[in-house]
Amino acid sequence: MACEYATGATDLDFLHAAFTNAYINISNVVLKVIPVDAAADRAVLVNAHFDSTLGSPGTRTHPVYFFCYRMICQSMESNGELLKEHHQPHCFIGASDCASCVGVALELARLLVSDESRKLQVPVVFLLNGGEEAFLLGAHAFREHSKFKNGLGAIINLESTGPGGPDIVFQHSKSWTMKSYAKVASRPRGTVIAQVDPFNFTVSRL
Amino acid sequence: MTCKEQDVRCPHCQGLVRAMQDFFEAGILPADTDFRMMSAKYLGDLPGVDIAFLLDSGAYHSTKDVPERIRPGTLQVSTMPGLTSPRLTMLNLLRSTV
Repeated sequence: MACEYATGATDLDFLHAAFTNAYINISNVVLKVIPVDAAADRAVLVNAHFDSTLGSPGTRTHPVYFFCYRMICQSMESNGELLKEHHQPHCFIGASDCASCVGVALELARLLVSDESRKLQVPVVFLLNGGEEAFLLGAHAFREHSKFKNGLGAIINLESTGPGGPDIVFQHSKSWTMKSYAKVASRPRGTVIAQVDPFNFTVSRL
Repeated sequence: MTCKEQDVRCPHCQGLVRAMQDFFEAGILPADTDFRMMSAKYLGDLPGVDIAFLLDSGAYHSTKDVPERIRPGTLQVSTMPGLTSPRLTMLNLLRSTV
């Protein structure tokens, strides 16, 4: 287990605009669970971020987050965007996004360590990510600088777009991952598309 | 992407996941996740899945995203042993395929 601090920079396209972001001492907490008789070396990465959205308490005083926040506001103002109301500093909490994800990850870690019947066959790296809301910089810091960055075989990313649940797979990479999910999840969660409300109010403002 | 084994029990599952992925690939949702930085589909090199709590998005990135608003049972089902859920079952499955 380690608490890692990293400094770096990366480019990222967001909503068809190019951003170059730099970060200083961004923090990630990493816990690696290794079975005694591991069948393989490559680990599953479970990622959950503990930082809240820009404008939340704490982020307003953090230099990296505040710099990004101001850049966004200035860019939107110069483009005549009408989102100033939405992006004024408020007391955001981030219970579902993503404290709930951190809670799920920690509970999973506890179950894997405490329940010997689960027969974990490969290592699992739990990444508690400290920079997701700042344009995925925490993930970049882990991917580029962490001592746990090597030997990974797959990722399960935990996120939230609302506190209403349920948890559902909404993106994947490599077809075998969805085949695996379909094979194992005996109670998949889904609904008719018309009943899903992804970002309804935000999309309407753009 | 196929979800054939689940079609009978969850005929809408495949369509929903495809729709959400289409939204992200089109770049019209004002959001992104670490999956983009890590996965082989985008900027990284890892296969995997991105799982999210989906509903009540009116609270997303707002002062309404408080613990009291998390729907009861949401977290418990995600982690409760013996109950299947995408998060825990994916973890159990990946142990045998990685």
